[in-house]
Amino acid sequence: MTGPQGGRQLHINVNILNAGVFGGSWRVPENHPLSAYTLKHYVDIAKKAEAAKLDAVFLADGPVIEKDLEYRPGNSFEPSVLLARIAAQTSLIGLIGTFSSSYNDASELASRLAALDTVSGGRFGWNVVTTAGAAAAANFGRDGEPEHASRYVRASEVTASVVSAWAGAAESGALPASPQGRPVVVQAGASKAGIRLAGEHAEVIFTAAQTLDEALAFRRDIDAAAATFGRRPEEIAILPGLSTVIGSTEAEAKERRRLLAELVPLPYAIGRLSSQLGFDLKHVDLDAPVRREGLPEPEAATGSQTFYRMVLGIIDRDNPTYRQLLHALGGGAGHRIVVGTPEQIADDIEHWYRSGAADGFNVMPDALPSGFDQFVDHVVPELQRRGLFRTEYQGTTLREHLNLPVQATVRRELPVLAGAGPSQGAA
Amino acid sequence: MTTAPRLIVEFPGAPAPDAEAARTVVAAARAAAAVATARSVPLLLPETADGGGPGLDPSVLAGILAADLIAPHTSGTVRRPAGAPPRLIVAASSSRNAPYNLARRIQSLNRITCGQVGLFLRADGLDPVTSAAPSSPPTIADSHARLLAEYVEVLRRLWVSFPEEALVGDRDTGRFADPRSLVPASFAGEVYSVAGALNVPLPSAHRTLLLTDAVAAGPAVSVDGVIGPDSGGQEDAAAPNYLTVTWIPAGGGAPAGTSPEEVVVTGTVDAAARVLREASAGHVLLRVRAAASQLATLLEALFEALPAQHESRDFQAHVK
Repeated sequence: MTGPQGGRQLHINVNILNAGVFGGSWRVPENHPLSAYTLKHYVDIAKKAEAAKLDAVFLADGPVIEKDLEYRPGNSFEPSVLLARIAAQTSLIGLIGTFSSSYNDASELASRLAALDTVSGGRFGWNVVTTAGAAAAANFGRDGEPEHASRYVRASEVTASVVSAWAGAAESGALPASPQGRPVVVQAGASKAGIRLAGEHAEVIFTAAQTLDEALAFRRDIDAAAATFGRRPEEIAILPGLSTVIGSTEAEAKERRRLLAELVPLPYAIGRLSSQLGFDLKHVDLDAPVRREGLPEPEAATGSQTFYRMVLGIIDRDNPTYRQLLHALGGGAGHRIVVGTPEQIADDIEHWYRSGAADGFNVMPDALPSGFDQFVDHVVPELQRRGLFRTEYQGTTLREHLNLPVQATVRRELPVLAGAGPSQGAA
Repeated sequence: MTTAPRLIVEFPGAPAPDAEAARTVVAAARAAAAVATARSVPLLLPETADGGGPGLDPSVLAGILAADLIAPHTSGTVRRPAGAPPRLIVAASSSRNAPYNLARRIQSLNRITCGQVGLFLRADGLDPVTSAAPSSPPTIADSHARLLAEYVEVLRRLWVSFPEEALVGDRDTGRFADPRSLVPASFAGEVYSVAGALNVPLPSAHRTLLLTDAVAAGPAVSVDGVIGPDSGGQEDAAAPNYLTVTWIPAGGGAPAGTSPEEVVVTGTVDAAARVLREASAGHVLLRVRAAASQLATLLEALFEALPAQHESRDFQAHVK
């Protein structure tokens, strides 16, 4: 995607990550602690996102109950029925839902998601994920999680099959024809296999880049991967996750950030970092520096390599203590956190956008719904004032909001991930 | 215990080849659901379109229709009186849905609608996700009966696996939920193996209405009713069988055919009402062979000609 010079504008989704991105988000005084388990939470945020002319709401998901439920809310409502319910009360906002390629059947998924796309008037996007973890595997008759590489092989096959069914819907008559050509394919994951999958299929890419350099390098990787598959890199929108902590003054924002760090239930933060680093932190001195030696390289990690890379990046860059690292992560999803006034946050967004590091952002407010209210009421108008963000929708479908063409060809050949080359072996 | 509704109306699965057709189908379903809901008669949303062609996935359609049932600020807590029928019944096949995924969609719809959604499960084989598991069983001789029995057991366990009471939300102590209140499915059968709890809570007092097709229903299967070619319209205290009444309004007027499990009636509202009155001691699934867009009008006329069911009046008194 070209920058603002090309007449295009920023794309902004709101990631309704239950109560907010931080582990202690649900404890902020202004929101109800159980809000994320109510329908109203999601419908209200979607309506507000539509009023602010955002591109889409985004729902993360996995077919498993979170092991940290004692300390923080998890994703709950199944996204296809929740987005259908939201579609009934909105008319323009895009609806992006996460559906596992590991534990859904391609034919059933293609048909259910095509229905959602059609009844919503072409507003649906599928965030393709692979599902890690033994707990999810055990809900589907598996003894253990599939290894990283095989998850991505299956993801490629399932995505190709679903997209092919959508692309052929008008001709085959087997599925409703999409009002937007076909639903938008969204993908996250910055492992080697993830980048290859993105290059093959993704139209929108959700990333966890922490620095501008990382983001620019990621874009180069994506461009190369897309070119490998004969796709045009400029037809892919890269939207990094952005956790926002907003105050009316810088001091207020910093105080808010401190409060959010304080609210993270410590057993939760320690448990989460332990699993990311691969050893139990219960018995380490939290004020000692993180020991970098002995930590596995990302390719050897079995869970989310994207977030593990990000954690390693912070360790390498800042040499933090364990407590500082816990604070930096905030018990959150590991996306970049910006703290400041609406103007400062708009500055950051504009800088990344004009640098070519991002086509927009998947915004993850610090606490929901209050943090999104602040974003919509103060940051969006600032971006509009700068001419960076739309003040009216120009179209009615998600694809139109994202300014993405329907790519002309769907590869008929089987996916090429398996045995694609030596670089894939360790992914 | 959920009481099986005496009468269920099936929405004619209409093809939705494009967005405009889909809008027409949704409008027809909303109108029919409004008429049926006023009479406390559940509307069954089928999986496929009559005569083939692309239908709308019934769980997605239920998600859309849910907006008419319950306002968002009241959802999340089941207020339905015990024994009252759900307002929508979603049809789904075992061959297309791993049990965890289906259980979760229905549970989510129930959380969205305060418990107004039931499930009609067709046991027609193993889904591809389950069959791709390394430990997937070889085909066994009584596979359908076994599969249905296990599928139902998994659903029942999953639907009570996350009692809403487990949500604590104590800001002061930082304790969000009580994991000891979860009741993981922990199911390991010959066909299915499902470990976990669902991640969608419902009050533990709620029981989701579950109907199955007749082919494989057995005495050990804890279902609320049976719909299918083998049901035969016979009453069974544990799981009543539904008699299918097919009404063809545009037909010539005489009964077109009768068999133990299905009655076909053609012609006027009065003819259909007469058949339904005669069958009123039992449980009936009404199929109307007409355009989806006509269903609401036809149902209104039909209900005018029928006495209200006792359960309907009880239910309506409650919701007022």
